[in-house]
Amino acid sequence: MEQFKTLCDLQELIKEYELILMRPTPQLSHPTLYRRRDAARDDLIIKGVRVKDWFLSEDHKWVKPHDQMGLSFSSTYKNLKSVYKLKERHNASRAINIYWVLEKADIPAGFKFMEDIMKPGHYFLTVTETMLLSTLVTKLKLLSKRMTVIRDGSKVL
Amino acid sequence: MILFRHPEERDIAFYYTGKLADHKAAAIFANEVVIDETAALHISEFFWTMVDCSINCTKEKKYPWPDGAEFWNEKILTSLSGSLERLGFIDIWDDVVDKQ
Repeated sequence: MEQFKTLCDLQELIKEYELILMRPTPQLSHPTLYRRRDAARDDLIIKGVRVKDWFLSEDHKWVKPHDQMGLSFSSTYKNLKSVYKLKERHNASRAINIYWVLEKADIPAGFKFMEDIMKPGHYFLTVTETMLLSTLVTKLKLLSKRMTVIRDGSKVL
Repeated sequence: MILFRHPEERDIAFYYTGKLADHKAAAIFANEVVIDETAALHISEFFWTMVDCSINCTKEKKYPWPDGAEFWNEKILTSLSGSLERLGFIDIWDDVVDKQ
């Protein structure tokens, strides 16, 4: 099996085929859900969903489609590197892992990636249809199981 | 012109220009100067200085915005780098990132 020396090598190979989406995540944190300790003091977290990330109904029971809200991902090495450096700065005592998925192969039905209209290379994982928050959580857990992880991304960036 | 997605990002950026006494960054964020290579470099470097300052504020429990410094710094990062990319200065942003 070919070994990839850097994330660039991997991205160069994969981009010929489809979009790769990457999310730097501090060690011991979950790639798609939040623990209370990972959130700010006043953040509302429901079943691991950080409420302010998503377009939710007023009663917080439903998540609705929105092209510019959802979980942040990077599709380019350079955007990833910026966000990675920021995560590193804010989590000085923890290694930062890089979780990644292939758009077409790995995302559950009801999800799609939408590019940030203000920043090429930055994407939002959004929903394509209104769904229960509990359904969103199930799908986010499923997505996390399909993600591949590069532990301690400082070795490849 | 620097475009911020959320009004809070602009408020935070201005708050730290004041806290760091960075009048040049304030003028850039206020769109009082045309952004050239020098200005692009200045705000790219200002961003990381602001990040360090906001982390210290958080440690001292003095960060003024309840959503937290990491959340807002990521939003500001996206707005600043997106603006610099639109203006043709993303290489300057990336060079500064490489030095962090």
